Amino acid sequence: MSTLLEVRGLNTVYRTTEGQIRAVDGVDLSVGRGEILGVVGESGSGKTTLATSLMRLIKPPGRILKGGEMLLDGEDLFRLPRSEMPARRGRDLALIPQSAMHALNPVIPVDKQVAEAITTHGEASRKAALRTARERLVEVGIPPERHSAYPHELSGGMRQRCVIAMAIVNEPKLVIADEPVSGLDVVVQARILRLISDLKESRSLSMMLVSHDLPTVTRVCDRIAVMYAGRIVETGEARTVFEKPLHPYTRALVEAVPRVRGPKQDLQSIPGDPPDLHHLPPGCNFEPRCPAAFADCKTVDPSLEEVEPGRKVACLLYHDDERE
Amino acid sequence: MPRPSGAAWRRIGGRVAQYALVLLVAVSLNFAIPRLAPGTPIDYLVPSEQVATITPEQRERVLAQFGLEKPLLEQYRLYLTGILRGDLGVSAQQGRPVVDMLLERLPWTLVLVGGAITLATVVGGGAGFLSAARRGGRTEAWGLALFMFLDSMPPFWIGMLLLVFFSGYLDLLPVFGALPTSGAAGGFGLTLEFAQRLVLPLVTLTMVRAGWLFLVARSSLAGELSEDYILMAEAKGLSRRQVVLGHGVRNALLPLVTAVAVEVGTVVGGATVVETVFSYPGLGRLIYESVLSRDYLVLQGAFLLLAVGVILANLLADLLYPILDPRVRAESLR
Repeated sequence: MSTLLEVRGLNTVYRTTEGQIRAVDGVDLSVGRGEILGVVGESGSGKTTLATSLMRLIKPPGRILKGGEMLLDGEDLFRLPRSEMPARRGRDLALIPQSAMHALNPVIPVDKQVAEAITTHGEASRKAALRTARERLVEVGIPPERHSAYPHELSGGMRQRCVIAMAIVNEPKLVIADEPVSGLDVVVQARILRLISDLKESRSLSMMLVSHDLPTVTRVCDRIAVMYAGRIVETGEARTVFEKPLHPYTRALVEAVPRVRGPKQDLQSIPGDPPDLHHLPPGCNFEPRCPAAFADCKTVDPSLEEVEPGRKVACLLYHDDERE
Repeated sequence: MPRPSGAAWRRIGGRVAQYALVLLVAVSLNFAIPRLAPGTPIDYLVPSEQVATITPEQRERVLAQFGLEKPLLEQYRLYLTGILRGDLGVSAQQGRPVVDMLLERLPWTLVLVGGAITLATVVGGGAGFLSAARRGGRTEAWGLALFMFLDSMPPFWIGMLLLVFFSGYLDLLPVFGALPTSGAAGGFGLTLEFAQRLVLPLVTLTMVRAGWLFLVARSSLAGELSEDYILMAEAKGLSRRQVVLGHGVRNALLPLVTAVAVEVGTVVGGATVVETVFSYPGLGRLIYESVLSRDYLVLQGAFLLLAVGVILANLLADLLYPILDPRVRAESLR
């Protein structure tokens, strides 16, 4: 599988009253053509900032530090002048934003909103764009009689489908989906995930899917990257990461998943709180909450190292050479 | 925009009926308030220097002239039927029908208030939107400071400053009234004279009211721009300009419509002060004069007219809202 997206050394910082925080801290990642990469982490781990950074839609007081690279089909989008980004957004790479419930303009019918994504990029007439928009809406499962509805007249699942239609309408190379099923009930979640899987098959969609929900991500993604405090701490093939997690944080995430089958167990939660990005521990960011921590973890900040082919972990347990 | 359906017409009818009820309440209050005021009607109906000296017969005659010797309910009935006939009584000071006096002043105020609201909406609202779109920049900082300053200035003070500067110091504009008192040219010349005299009161009133509309527009658009649909619109590939104008402002207009409607009442209040400062012959100045001379029927008539104006403005906003916002359309259909 050839590489579509290659991100290297991405740093996104926010200026706050207490100083600068690094919400995305030196992230490297890649997405192959026709692949879905899942990015998993708890609230505040930097997932949304990562997704927004890749769209170059970070607003002050946040900014992307210079020096990072984002190669899409070999072209570094971070080097493009800001004024060229609108032409790329929606066509080269598209976003399905968090809380898609509110991602639609309340005063415009949904088919017009989808059509606008077409007309803004091209030569298509309003009429032709509207026709294409409606075809896409049918493709994502919106019946024709609902096409000219206003967002408030549609259910959460329907709105989410409209947003997905809007994201795929220009056949972007990469779709970035930020929590595409949060806020929906379980049955609708399953349907939307099915839709995403179907679209991946039918359109060989390449996608980065951001979520806090590890099992969900495992189901639809090919590979997973686990984020903690702005960094990627583990990556690998989706099933392997879920079934044999290496990083203690990933292990904790897996154990926090309630099991429906098998003997009854108390639900495991991860002790402690996500770290305050203003005051990160000197060693490993996860050390204060880590059940497997040992002395070196307090001083050595582990880097993301390959431990098996296609498997990387940032944890001293697996880095013999980094221990002091 | 959908064509009004049967249901929409029913909704419009319902709204109009509601406002008619509000109007009836306003009319009744207008009837009641002078009668609840301390003192006897004689204090208000007879020029003050004569109150002490009039005879009981004269007193009876005055009361009878205004129908005040009749029972209260009968007075109320007469008041209502009078309004329906377009009869608001006769001015105690000038002996002319109140309706005539009001109609004579109304056009001047309509020009002033209508112009000020339009200008304040365009200037204040426009600057507010611009300021929200340029958040964090210098435009926003200066704009905010300027309009906050304007919003906190009393109208009479701004009016007097302008008057002193432009008419007194620079001698650019005439000071007094709406039309020259003598030697009036016809046609174009007269229009020019009127325009020159309108400038200062209009600018004063606009300056005073633009501040509030600026703040409403600014906070409304700033709120909209932080919504997720704005992010989505940008992610679709729209330019920032298209996003702000086509999506943000479109939604931010809603609170502004309400604010402008509310503004109608406030601007009329401001007009009283401004018209007095500039001796502009509008309703506001008539109210001021009538307060000074205790010309109660004129005041009553003027208040009635203002109430009608404010109610109409609100009705208009109420009817405009469903056109701008499909969510309101759905709600009022329920």
